[in-house]
This record gives sequence, structure tokens and C-alpha cells, in this order.
Amino acid sequence: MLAVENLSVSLPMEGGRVPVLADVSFALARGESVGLVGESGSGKSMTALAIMGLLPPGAATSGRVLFDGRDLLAAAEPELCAIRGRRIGMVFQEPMTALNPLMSIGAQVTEPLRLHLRLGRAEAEARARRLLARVGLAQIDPHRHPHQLSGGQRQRVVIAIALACGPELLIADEPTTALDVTMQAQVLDLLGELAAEQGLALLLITHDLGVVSATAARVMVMYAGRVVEAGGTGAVFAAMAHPYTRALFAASPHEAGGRPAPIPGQVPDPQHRPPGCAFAPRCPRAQRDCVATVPVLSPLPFKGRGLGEGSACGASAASPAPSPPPSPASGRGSHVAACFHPHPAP
Amino acid sequence: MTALLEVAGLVREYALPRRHPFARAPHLRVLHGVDLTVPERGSLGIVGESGSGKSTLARAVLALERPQAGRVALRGRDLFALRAAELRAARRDIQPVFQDPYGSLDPRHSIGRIVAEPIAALEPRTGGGERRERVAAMLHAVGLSPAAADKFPHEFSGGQRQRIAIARALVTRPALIVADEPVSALDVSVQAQVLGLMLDLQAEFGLAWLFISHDLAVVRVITARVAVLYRGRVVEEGPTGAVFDAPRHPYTAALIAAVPRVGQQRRSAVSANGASANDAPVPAEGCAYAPRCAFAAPRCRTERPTLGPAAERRTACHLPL
Repeated sequence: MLAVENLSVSLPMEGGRVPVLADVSFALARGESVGLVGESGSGKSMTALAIMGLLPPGAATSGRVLFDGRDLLAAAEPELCAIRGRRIGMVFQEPMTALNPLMSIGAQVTEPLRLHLRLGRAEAEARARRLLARVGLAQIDPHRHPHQLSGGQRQRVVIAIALACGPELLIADEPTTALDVTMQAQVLDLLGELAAEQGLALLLITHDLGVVSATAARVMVMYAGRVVEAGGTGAVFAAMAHPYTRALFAASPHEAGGRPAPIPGQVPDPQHRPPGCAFAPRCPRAQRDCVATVPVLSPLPFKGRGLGEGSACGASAASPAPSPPPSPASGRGSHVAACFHPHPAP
Repeated sequence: MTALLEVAGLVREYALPRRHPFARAPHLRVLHGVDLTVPERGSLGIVGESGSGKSTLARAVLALERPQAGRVALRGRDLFALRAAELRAARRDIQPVFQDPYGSLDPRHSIGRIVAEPIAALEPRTGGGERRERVAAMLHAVGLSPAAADKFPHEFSGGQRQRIAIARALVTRPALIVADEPVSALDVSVQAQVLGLMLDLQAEFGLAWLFISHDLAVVRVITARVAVLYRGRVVEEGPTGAVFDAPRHPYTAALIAAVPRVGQQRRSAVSANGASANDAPVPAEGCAYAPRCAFAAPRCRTERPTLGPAAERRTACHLPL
């Protein structure tokens, strides 16, 4: 249903065009969910904006974003308007900026129903009430305004709006970060139910590896605008191959307690990305080849390329070829990593 | 031995809008008699859903809002019984760190002025030289260079801003820092750095933390003991590891079960009847959690369970797990 093929985005910044996304490819079928994880600045949100056609002015794109066979990157604004909010729902992180402070929440949930589905007032209001009940807001008066709700309640209103028109794809950028754990569980359950009942596909952007593990069948780890590891969620977390994936995991506070390990250094600015593997300056496993060439996503396990066994991969990938677009039939769940010296499987 | 912080029977109500002009304003009771203790150099986590009263508790402990009943005592002195000058002196010992590293720093003030603010307000006789020295020392302690003093908040990242907020809290050398969701707005790696810094500072400065968060994993990293708050009452209290590993109150168990974990399949939502803490009506009698509780017995709907006297572990539940 959604196929992102070799998506690259560059933005105009001081000193010229700067690539912010490079060669991102993935596919999403009906009822499927993909989690996108990484630190701020890794390109997660930029990927979502590119799919929605909401990139900042001056952005240049290459590659394709196929939604139901149409290339959204080439689509004109009126066509995108008919898709956004109706066939593709969005949940953004900041519920206070996503909601109109002057409109009651009932009116805001009703609006897309009247606009996109052309429902009558009574029908739209009835449906809005059902939507609000579904996100656990049955007891909230729909005449209330956003400022009268708590952060978690506002976020649930945003989710209700995103789901209003029964979209086929939901792009959710940190949808549960502002919520309590119990409300988070309820929202994640709701998304799972919609996937099972209506075939809703979900692109879930989060920094919370636990949320991804609990919700998404597949996960993509992004760093500095590239996908560095991807695969079935179970396979990836059972055998994290890319040092960045491991570093993210080690930095997350664990229920076992103990001090989480910060990743040394910082995500490089798009203007100052190092040559070669962008993670190399922060990577405990980096070797000489890592700073020379950009590693491409390759299937795991890497036979005969364990630690210390050299850089056969680096030599062969001297000029980074774009990774092949994912074929819908094969390789969807295969575990891949862009690293010359991945961690061997345990 | 007196505890560093002792909160006893704390009740806080807010007036709601009147229903009609001559009616008495209805009140919403947010805290229903909360008891807490933080020892010197100790750390107590407060967890609970939104609407549980966590932030109200923080404001009362910081003496920013006067409770309707109960006391907040710092080293045995009731903050709300102090005269203004005495309260100002006491505030040196108890300092806040808030969640939003963007909203909590004045964008027009230099970092030096921001960090020196508590000195200016609470120790106005301090000379300029000493003030600058102390600001530089605190910036150093939180891992920033002294040159940061001349910069402005917009020049710093979220993690650095939270370090600045911590430096400001430390500058009066407090005994207790009340931190309300201090790392919730930070990226994972930055969050790990700030958590490490908080642990280091606790050892280095002999600090105690009252650490409020909805993130159970973060609370486990920072705190030795934890109190679980539900609708304005402490329902369980004890050593953080023990409470999280083997919760006794069904609400604590539900909270812990709701945390998604790497390598685990999703369980169905814990609040079986779908109501979150904010939305469900509180019963007039019995256990406040009974309407959501899978184990509630008839007694739970009529008789309110109490936490009992101070102990290593205690639970306000008739049928603890």
C-alpha cells in the first residue's frame, strides 16, 4: 500500500543544499505496522513529513513515495489534500499546536468528517462522539476547548481526529510520549484493534524501544538521515547488529535499574555529517574503513565478517550503491544493517 | 532523628467555577491527606497517572501553594508556619527543577543571571565576586564551561538547558531538590546523561531528591524508595526495586504491567473498563481504585483502606497481592 523507494531529501541551509534524508526505502502493507526509532535529528520526523508532502519550502526530493500506486512526491497539492486527513491520518507530537485553541474539541473531530466525507451535522456529531469514546474520552463534554483538557486528553483528541475518516494509513509521531503508561497501553491497543479490524497500516515514530517492540511488527533504526538497521522487531531486538541500535538500547532506562549509558558525542548536524558512516565518530567498534565509505544496508548475518576479520564489505562498497528498492514479495522481514563491523548474533 | 522532609496529612483543594452566581463554589480535592518522608541524602520517587496529584504535591512541598490541611516540614520546621523571612531562608534548602527546559529559563536573561537568580532572591547580601564564583562552580559541576554564563538560553540544547536548570537549583547548596518530570522532555541519550549527572550530584553534594515522574524506568534509576499516588492518596510505598518487582497494590501492578518492554508481546490494556485516572468518577466511600480494580471485593467499596504506620513497605489495600 505504501512503498517508499530510495527517498532522499535535501534542504537549503546556510552554505548550500544539505541532505537530511538519504536513500530511505521501506514498504508497508495493509494492517502492518513499522516502527521508526532514533534520536532527534535522525530523520524520523522528516521521513513522515516527506510522505505527507509537508516538507519545508525549498526542500528537494528524489526517489518515490508510492501510496496505492500514486507517487505522492509528484502529486499536486489538491490531490495531496484529498489524501491527507482522509486516507492518511497524522498524529503529531505536540497536541497543543495540532489543535485549534478557539474550536471546541467536538467541532474539531467533526470537521474532517464534514469536509472529507461530507457527512451531515447530526451524523458527523454522532460519529465524533463514538470516536471520542474510542480514545477513552466518553466522559468529556465535546463542547470543551483544548485548554480545558489535560495533555493526555488533548493527545487523545488529536488521535481521534486522525482516525476520524477511517484512514488506511496512520503516521504517528510520538503519539503516546505525553501519555501515562496506562493511557499509552490503551492507545496502542486501539491502534492494534484498528489494524486487525480495518487493516489500518501504521508508521509509528518513537524514541521508545519498548513501544516499538510492543506495537510494530518491523522496526527501522535511523541515524543521521539514513536507515542503519531494519528487520522484524523480534529479530532485531534479539540480535541487535548495528552499534547504534545497541547504543540506543543501552541509553534507555531499564526496569532492572542501573545507570543508563549515554551515547558519547552528539548527533551530527546535517551540515557537518562526517564522511563514511555517520555514526563512526561515536562508535566503539569504528575502524579505518568506517570513516572512508558509507556502509549500505546488507542482509544479516554477515558471514565471515566478524569483528577483526577486516573490511571485505567496505572494499566492495567503495562507491555506495543505492540499496535496492524493497520488493514487496521478498525480503520484507529480513534483518539488514548498514555497518562494516556489526555485532555478531549472540 | 528528624527526616529531611516530612509531609503529613497534606490536603489540597481547588475551588471550581460556581454553577450559578449565588452557589458556593464546589471544591475539587486533589490531595487527600498525603504522608511522605525523605531522609537526608535520600531519594523518593513519586509515580502515578496524570490527575493523581503528583505536581500538586510538588508545589505544596516547594511551599508555592498553601495546603488546606497538613504540614510540610523541612528538618522539623513546618514551612507553612514560618514568617516570610524565615521561609525565604528555608527555600535555600529546597529547590525545584521543572520539566520544560524551554519554558523554565527566561530567554532574555544570560545563563549567569539565571543561575545566580536564587542567590539574588534568597541571599541578597552575597557580593558580585562570590556570586560569579559560585555560578562558575555550579556550571562546572553540571558539565558546562564557565563561558556558558555569558550566553543565552537559545544557544543551548534541551539537555544543556536542563543542566542549567539543575545548576540553578544547586547554587544555594540545597539539601533537597524537588524535580517534576525533569528528564521527560529529553532525547534518550541526553536523558541518560542527565540521569547520570543527577546520580553523581546526589553523591557529590549530599543531596536528597523528591523525584516526580510518570516514567517508571527513570524513577527506578534515580530513587531508592518510591510512593505510588492514586487520585491524591499514596496507595503503596517502599523500596523502589522491591515495589516494582513485586507490587502489592493492584494499581501499582497495573501501572507496571502497562509499561511496554523490549522483547515482550503486548498484553491487553490494564484498565479493563477503559477509564483513565482522570475520567473515572471517584467513589464517595471505599477504595478510590475499586471501580478499576480487577480484585475488588464488597469490602473495598465500603471501607477505605489505609496505608498504616511507617514501615519498610506498606500498601493501602484490603487484598494486597
